Amino acid sequence: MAGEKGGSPAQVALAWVLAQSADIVPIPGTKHVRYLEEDLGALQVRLTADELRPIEEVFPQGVTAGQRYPATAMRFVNG
Amino acid sequence: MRSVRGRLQIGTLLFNGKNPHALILTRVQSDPRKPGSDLAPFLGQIEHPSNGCECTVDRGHLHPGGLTHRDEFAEGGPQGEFLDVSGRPEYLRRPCEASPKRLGVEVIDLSYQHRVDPATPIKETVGAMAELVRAGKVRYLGLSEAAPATLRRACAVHPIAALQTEYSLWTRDPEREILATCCELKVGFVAYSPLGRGFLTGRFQTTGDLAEDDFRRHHPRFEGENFQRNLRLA
Repeated sequence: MAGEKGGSPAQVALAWVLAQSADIVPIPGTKHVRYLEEDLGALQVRLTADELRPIEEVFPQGVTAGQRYPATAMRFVNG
Repeated sequence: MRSVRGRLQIGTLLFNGKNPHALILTRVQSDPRKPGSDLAPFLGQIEHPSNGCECTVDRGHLHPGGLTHRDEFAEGGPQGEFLDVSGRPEYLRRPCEASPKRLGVEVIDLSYQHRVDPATPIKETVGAMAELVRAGKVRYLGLSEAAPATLRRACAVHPIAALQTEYSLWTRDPEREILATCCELKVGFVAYSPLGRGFLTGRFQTTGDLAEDDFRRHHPRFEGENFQRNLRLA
């Protein structure tokens, strides 16, 4: 799903979050400096509406397989 | 948005004393041109003075350049391990005393209640946090994974500067309601796990690509058939 904008998959995924609203701040974590630099590179990737659409279609709401936490940890999610 | 303003922040959940890159990352982050870092008492043992990692995130390397200092309230054990969510007023005061010392600052810019404590009314939790603001110990308040109604009740007690909740291409749940609620209540939204715990980087093709002790091996979306189905989507 990356490539066309010259960004890596991680950068496109972060750019997608950034594109949703100026009031949304993604907070990626990493253990590696090279990934940190890659993440920061997402700030240079600007996606247009036409570019966002096909990316969003990859994971529409509810299509991802599996809950986002094991059942024991879901109790820490407040609805 | 106030104190959370910044286009991108760096999470430190994955930092721990075994990580040789943690110190380097800390130095990278101490560059005032780089984004602020998210610090939590139990997220990453490296931040805990008891584990002997002296030259790390909380040793004062992070603060030059007006970066945001943040801390989170959650029940931590002696080694900084996560014990439980606690929103009890009497608990909140303890990390609030310890956090500035660990971070090497006078005042915490943004304090999160890390996850909503189902056993404590949110008004009590936020009421206690608001006292910390009035006492000059904290500047802004944040919540994590709060439902829209909870956030609304919280904002009625004290302004909430930020909500930190999972949001990414493969976790679109916030689009149902909470993003709009945040917009309405003027609460900044901090999207954690924006890379789907690494899945969206495209670096993993099979569960075998994860180390034996990788926590994601026990994560529903990385397990067996789920993982293969998610890979086919991407």
